[in-house]
Amino acid sequence: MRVILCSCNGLMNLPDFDFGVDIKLERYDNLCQQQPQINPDEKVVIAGCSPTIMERFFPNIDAEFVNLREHVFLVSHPVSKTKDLISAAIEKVRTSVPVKIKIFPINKKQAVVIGGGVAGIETAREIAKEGIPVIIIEKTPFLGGTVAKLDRLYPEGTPYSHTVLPLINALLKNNNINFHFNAEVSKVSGAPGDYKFEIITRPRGVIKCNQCGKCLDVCPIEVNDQGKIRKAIYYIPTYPNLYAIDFETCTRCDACVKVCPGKIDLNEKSVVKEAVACAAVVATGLNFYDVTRVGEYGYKRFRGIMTHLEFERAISSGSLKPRRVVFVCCAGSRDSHHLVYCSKICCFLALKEAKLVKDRYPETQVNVVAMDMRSYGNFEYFYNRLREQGISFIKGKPSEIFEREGNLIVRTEDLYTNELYEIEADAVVLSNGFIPDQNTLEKFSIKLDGNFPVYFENSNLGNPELPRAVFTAGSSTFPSGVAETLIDARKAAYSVLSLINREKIETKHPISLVNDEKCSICRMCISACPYNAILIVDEKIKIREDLCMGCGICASTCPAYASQLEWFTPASLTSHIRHLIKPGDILALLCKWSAYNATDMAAYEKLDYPENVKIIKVPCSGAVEPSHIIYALNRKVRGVLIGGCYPDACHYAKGNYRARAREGILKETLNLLGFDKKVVRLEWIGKDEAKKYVEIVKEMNR
Amino acid sequence: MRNYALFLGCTVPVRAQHYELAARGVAKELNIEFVDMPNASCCGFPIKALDAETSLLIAARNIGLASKMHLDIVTLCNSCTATLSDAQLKLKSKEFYYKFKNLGFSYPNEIRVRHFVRMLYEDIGIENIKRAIKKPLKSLSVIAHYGCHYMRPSYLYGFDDPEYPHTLDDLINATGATSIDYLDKKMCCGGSVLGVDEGLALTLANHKLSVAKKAYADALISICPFCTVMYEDNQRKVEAKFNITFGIPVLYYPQLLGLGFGLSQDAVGLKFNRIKTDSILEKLT
Amino acid sequence: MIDLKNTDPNFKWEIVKQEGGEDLLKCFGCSDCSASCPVRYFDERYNPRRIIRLTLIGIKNEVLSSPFLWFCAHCHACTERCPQGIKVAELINGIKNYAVAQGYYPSGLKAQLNLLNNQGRLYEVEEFDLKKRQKLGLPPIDKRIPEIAKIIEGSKVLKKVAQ
Repeated sequence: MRVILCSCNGLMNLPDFDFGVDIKLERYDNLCQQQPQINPDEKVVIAGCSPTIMERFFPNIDAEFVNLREHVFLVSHPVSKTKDLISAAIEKVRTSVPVKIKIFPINKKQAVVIGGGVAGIETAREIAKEGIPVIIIEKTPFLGGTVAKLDRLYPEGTPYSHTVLPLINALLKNNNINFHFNAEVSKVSGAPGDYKFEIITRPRGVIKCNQCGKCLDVCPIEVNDQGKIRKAIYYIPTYPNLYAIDFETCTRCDACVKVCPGKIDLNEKSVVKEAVACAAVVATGLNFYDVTRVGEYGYKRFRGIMTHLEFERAISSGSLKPRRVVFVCCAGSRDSHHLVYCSKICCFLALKEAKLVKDRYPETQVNVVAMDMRSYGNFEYFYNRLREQGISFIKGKPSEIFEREGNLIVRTEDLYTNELYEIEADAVVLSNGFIPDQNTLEKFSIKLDGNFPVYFENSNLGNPELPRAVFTAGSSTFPSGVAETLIDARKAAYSVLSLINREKIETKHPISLVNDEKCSICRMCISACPYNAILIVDEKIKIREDLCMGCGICASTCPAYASQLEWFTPASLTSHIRHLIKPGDILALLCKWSAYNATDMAAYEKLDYPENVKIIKVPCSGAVEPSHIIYALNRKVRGVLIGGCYPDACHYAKGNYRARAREGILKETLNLLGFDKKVVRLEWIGKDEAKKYVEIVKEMNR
Repeated sequence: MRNYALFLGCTVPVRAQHYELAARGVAKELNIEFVDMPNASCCGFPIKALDAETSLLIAARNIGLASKMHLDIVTLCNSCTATLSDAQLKLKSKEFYYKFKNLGFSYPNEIRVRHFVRMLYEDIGIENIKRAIKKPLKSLSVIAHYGCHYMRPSYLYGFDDPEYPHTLDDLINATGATSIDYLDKKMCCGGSVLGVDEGLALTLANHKLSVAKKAYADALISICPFCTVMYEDNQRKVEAKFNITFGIPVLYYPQLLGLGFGLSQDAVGLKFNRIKTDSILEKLT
Repeated sequence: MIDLKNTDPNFKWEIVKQEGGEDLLKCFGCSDCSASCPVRYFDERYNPRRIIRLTLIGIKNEVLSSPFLWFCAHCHACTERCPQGIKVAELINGIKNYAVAQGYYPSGLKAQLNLLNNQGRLYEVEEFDLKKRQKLGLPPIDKRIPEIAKIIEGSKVLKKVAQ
C-alpha cells in the first residue's frame, strides 16, 4: 500500500516512519502543485493538509486522507501524534471496501416535458431547437396552462396573446415535437439517462375540426369553468386547432355529432402509451390550494366569493360588473390550519386583479385587506400606483366572510385604526395559495417532505457528482410570474441539453450497498432513508444508485449490517478506531459537512485544545452507530464526542435527528453498563464554531 | 343497553333539576342507562380564571371517578364538557399526571368525555331518534343555540364543523320541529362575563334573543344550563335594558326531544322553565 | 408616549411559563382573534390582540391592572381562528392567572372560590333541594364534597385569594 506524505512546503517536518514492509512511503513537498499518478484500482493513504483541500487534487480515487497540518502542526500537538494518525488510517484502508464507479448511460437521446403551459412550452422549444426530440405530456386538451386562461399577465396587464402565442409558434417551427394531450404520466421506471414513461391519454372526442363553432350552438350543457361559462365542447385558441369535449360534463346527447358528422367520436376510449427519454422536466405549473377548506371564508357557500382566476375570467368575459370588491389576501396561507408558508405571488395577483377591475370600472370601490403586502422589487412601484388610483388597503386578517340581506360582508379589524369593520361587497376575491405537485414528483421517487420551494435538486448541490436527470421548471419549483418562469424554463432546458450531449454520466461517489445474504428484509432501511432511495424489487432490497446520497443512515440503522456504505463500512470504522485511540483519549466522530470543518477552523483561529483528541470524519452524525461508541468506551477512551449539524440544518435532511433519537437510548444503555452518562456527548457544531468545539473537548477532558 | 357515567356538575342537580329529569327521561326511552357518579363535584370551570392548573386537577378527579367505574362520561353542560375534556388531554402530560397521583387520585382506564347531545348524535344516530319519535313536533320552529364549548376548540373535540355546525340542527329537525338558519349562530351567550360586567353579558344575550324574535321562533333551544341563565333567567333584564319584549321560551334540547317521544310536560319538567312554555304546548295540541 | 425602557421585557417570559401561555411568542398580530371575538364586537375596550401585544412589549401594569382583561368570555372563537395555532383563550386565561397571583381579580371570582372551597360546588345544596329531587324521582346528591378543599389547598395562589 502506498502512503503519500506531503510536508506542505516544509511547514511539516515529518519524522522517519516505519509502517512495515508492505507499506511504500512517498514524500512530497507540495502535493497541491504536483500529484503522483494513482491508478483507479489502488487504495492509498494520503497525509498532508485538511482533506477539504486535498480532495480537490485527488478526485475519483480510493484514498483515506490524514489531516496532519490542521490537526497536529497548526495546533502545536506533538509530532509523534502523526504516526498514530497515519497508522490508524493504514489499518482502516486495509479493510475498506473500494468505491465502485457508477455508470448511467445516456441511451435515449430525447427529453420528456411534463406540462404544456408556459414553462413546458419554453423548455421544449429550447431543447427542440438543438435538434433533440421532445415529448410534451399535457393534462388538458390545449397548450397554454394557467396563462392561457387569463386575460392579462401581471403586473402591467399585457394580454396573454403577447406571450403564449409567439412562444407556441416558435415551438411549432420544430418538427421533432411529439404531443400527448389529455394525458398524464401514470408510471415512471428506469434510471437517469434511461427513463421509461407510461402515459394514459383520455379521449378528446374531436377528430377533425375547422373551428366553425356549429357544435357550440347546439350543445345543451353549460359549464362554469373557473369563472368563465363555456359549453361541454369547447376551444381555447392556442394549440392544437381542434375543439375538445369535456367528458366529465358531456351527456353524450349526440347534438354535436348531428351537425358535424364524421368528425366527432363520443365513444373514443382512453389509451395507454409509452415513451422513453434520458431526462425529464416537470413543468406542471400552478397548483391551487382548495380554499373551500377555509370554512370561515365561505367559498362555494355564498355567491360572489371567488378565487383570482375565477374573478379575472368573470371580469374579462363581462359577466361580472361589481360595484364593490374586497380582496382578501393570505386566504389559507401563513396559517397553521392550512398552508403554513407564503406562496409569494398571491399578493400581486391580488394587486393585478385590483388594477384590472379599477381600470375597467373606475367607479368601483376596491378594498384590499392584507396582513402584509409582499410586493418585492419593482412591484413596490405598482403597489404605490394602485393607492393613487384610489384603492384602499386595510391591514388586517378577516375573521369571517358571510352573506347578510343579499350583501357579502367581510368582517376585519383594521390594525391602523384599531376599529372593527364590516365591509359590504358584491364580490370578494380570495388570494389563495399554491401547493407543490406531489403527485408527479412522487413518480420519480422524489420525496418532498413538505418542502416548498421544490429544491430537491438542491439536496444534490453539495455534491455535483450525483446523477441528475429530472428537473423542475417554472411554478413547479415555486409559484412564479411569467418572466421568472421563462428564465427558469430555459435553465431547465440547458440542464437537459448538457446531459444529452454526453455518452454517459459517470460518478464515483460512495453509496450504500446491500448484501442480500445478510438482509432479512425487515425494511427498517426503507423508512430510515431520507431520499426514498430504497425499494423492494423482486422481493429483495434494492438501493437506487441514482438516488442514494451516501449518508450512511440506512447502514447505521440496519440491525444485520446488511447495508454498508462504500469506503465507510463498520469493519473499517472499527479498525480505524482500534488503531487510532489510546486509553484516556477523546474520540471525536465529526460530520464532514459541519463539525469536522470546525476543527480546521480551530487551527486557522490558532486555538489550543488537548492533544488527546482523535478525530474521525463521518458522512453524517446519523451514520454513527452506537456499537462503535461502546467499542471505543471498552477500549478505555475518556469520552466520545459525536458532532453534527444543527437541527433543521442537516445536510441529509434528518440525519442529526436520528443521532439525537439514538442518544437517548444510548445513554440509558451506558447507565446500565456502568458508564457515566456524560462520557458520550452529542453536540451540534457549526462549521465556523471552532471555539464551541474547543470548549467541548476541554470540558470532556476534565 | 348502553351505559354511561352521568356527570351532573353544579347547576343542573341544584338549580335546573328539570333538565336532569328530561335527560333521564329521554335516556330511558332510548335504552340508555345512566350510572350516577357518587362524590362527583363541580367540574372546576369557575376557578379556571384564578388558577388553571387547580381547576384542571378538580376536573381530573372527576374523570378518575368515572374511570374507576369503567364508563365513559356524559355531561349535561357545555362548560363541564370543556373542563373535563381539557383535563383529560392534560392527563397525558407527565408532570400533571404526577401532581394528580400525588393528590391520591388514579386514572386506571382511558375513558371518553362527551356532551349528552353529542352522544345522542354519535351513538344513537339521527335515524334511530327519528324512529323513536311518537309525536312529531311539526308546528314548531326554533332557534338552535350551540353554545361555545360544544364544538370549540376543534382541536379538543374534532366534532361537527366549527364554522358551520349542523349536528344540533339535525337533532332538532329529527323531532319534526324546524331549526331556523340564522347568522351569528356561533355567538357566545355571555354567561362567563355575567359576574364581571352585567351590561356586556346582557348585550350578548340580547343579540341572539333579537334574532329569535325577528325569526318568529317558538323557542330557543339550549344545551347548557349556563346559557339558559342568560337567555331565560335574565331575559327580563335584557328586555328592561334594551326596552324590548321577547317572551321567548327557552327549552333544553332533551326537553324538546322528550316531547317528541311523547313524554308528558311534567315528565320533561316544563313547569320549572322560568319563561312559560304555554305557547309551545298550545301549538302542539 | 411610552418610553420602552419603562417596560418589562421579562414579562413575556413569565407569561410563557403560565398554563396556557406557551405559544405567546408566536403571535404576529394579525388581529384574526379580535375580529372573531364576540365581546370585542360589542365593546371595543376589550381587545385580545392589544392585550397580547402589550404583554409582548412588556407594558405590564396596564395589562395586569386592566379591568378589561376579565371581559374575556372564554368562548374560544379566537382559538379556533388563530393562524399561528395559538390557543388564544387559554393564553388570555394564563395572563388572568398571572394577574391573580399579583393580587388583581374581580370580587365575583373570590366568591365562587369560597363556594367551591366550602361545598365543592357553586350552589349550596339545602334540604329543600334534596326534597325537590326526591319528589321528582331523582337520586340524591352529596351536600358537600370536602375533597375539593384539599385540592384547592395545594395552590398557593388560591390560598392567598381565599383569605
